[in-house]
Amino acid sequence: MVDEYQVHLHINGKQVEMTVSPLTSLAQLLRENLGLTGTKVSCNEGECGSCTVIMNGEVVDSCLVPVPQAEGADVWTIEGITPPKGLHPLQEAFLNEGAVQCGYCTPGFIMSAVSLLRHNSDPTEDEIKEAIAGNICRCTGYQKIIRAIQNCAEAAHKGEVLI
Amino acid sequence: MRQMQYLRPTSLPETLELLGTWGERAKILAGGTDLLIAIRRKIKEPEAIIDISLLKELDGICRQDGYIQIGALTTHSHICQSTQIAECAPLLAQACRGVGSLQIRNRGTLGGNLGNASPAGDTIPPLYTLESEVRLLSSSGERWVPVNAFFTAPGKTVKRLDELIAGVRFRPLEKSVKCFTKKIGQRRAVTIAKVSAAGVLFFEGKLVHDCRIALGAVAPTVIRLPAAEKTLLGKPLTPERIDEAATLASELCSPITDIRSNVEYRCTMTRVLVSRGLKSILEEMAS
Repeated sequence: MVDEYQVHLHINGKQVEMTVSPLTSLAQLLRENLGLTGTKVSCNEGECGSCTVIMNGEVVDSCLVPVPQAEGADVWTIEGITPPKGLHPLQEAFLNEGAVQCGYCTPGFIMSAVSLLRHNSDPTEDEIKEAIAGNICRCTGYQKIIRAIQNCAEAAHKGEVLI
Repeated sequence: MRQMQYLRPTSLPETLELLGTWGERAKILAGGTDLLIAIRRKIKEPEAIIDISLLKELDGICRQDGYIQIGALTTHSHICQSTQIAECAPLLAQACRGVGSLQIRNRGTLGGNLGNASPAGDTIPPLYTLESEVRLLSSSGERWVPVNAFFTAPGKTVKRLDELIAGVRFRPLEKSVKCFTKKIGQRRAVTIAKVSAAGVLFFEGKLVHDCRIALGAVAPTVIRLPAAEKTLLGKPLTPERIDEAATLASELCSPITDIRSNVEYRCTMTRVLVSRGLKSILEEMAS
């Protein structure tokens, strides 16, 4: 019988230990317990992808991960992708292409794009679309997002940037 | 209101004991992509959640005694990426690829798709055409239920309250076997099927030797279509016979009108998907 759960995991390379109620979602843990509000919660049902993080090397909707299932996990959020100074190449690419309007979906898209380019350094347009199918944007119409990811993939493929 | 208990058993025997104790008062949690939503929307309000994610013996794909076995905790992503499944049940891999988004596929499980028992469940029509069996475990033992006898109504199965879905098994398909899986939804991804179809055809020379066609989301459960299958048996596959089988399929289904679609569209798309699926096999054979 578990009323409170003591979780141990790695977030953005740092060890974290926290006691929360077991049905707390990873998204809530990140935002409310750790102040890492770069990860957004919008639908809270795994449809919009604004809560996307990379957990054990794969993208997941953190709103649907109950904290006990993140026990021992290696989690990366937008805060962990952003370098201490400046921007990640994908963040630069999004800004250069005008792929950011209100910005609410952007952390989720960046996490999906980071994961894509780490698994597949030369994605086709269809592969990009499949990778970001779980992220919804209400502002941009997606074309600039796709272009930003393509541009960044090209630069990474040439060895100009590191994902 | 009493607080929901969160139970996280570390072994199968412990899990089965808990199921025996809690029965209908508990719900099983695997990847959480269906259950957590139902709980948040108060569609399901269990007194306890039994999180089975620690039961690693239920995770994975293996070949044993001439069967492919897939554990209930195997994620859709895992199935998509499996070379074993690509070789001997490619339609299942393709169906899993259509589940939700990549984020969902990395968490959602085959067992969960079965346990949720939606007639629109993406893995179910392929499992029907593979003539799979579902493995159920309880403290009193194990039983295997043919997948086409597992579902009784939307959301309902023959699984007893003290039982756990442990996995499925099916005979691998030879390379010469042709198959298809089709789905139509509101959009190309992250969509629940309005109609889905799967088919497996065995050939002897040019003649269809065995034929299995299953439809999803057009009846209270996924259904096989023996009458349509019969029209193809023992004959070469031709466009005319495909049209006949597809038209018959649309007459054999019994869809409803709901928030996703209506009867007329579903009947029409049943014919279209079966036709497209069978024609894709013709095209594959021609090339």
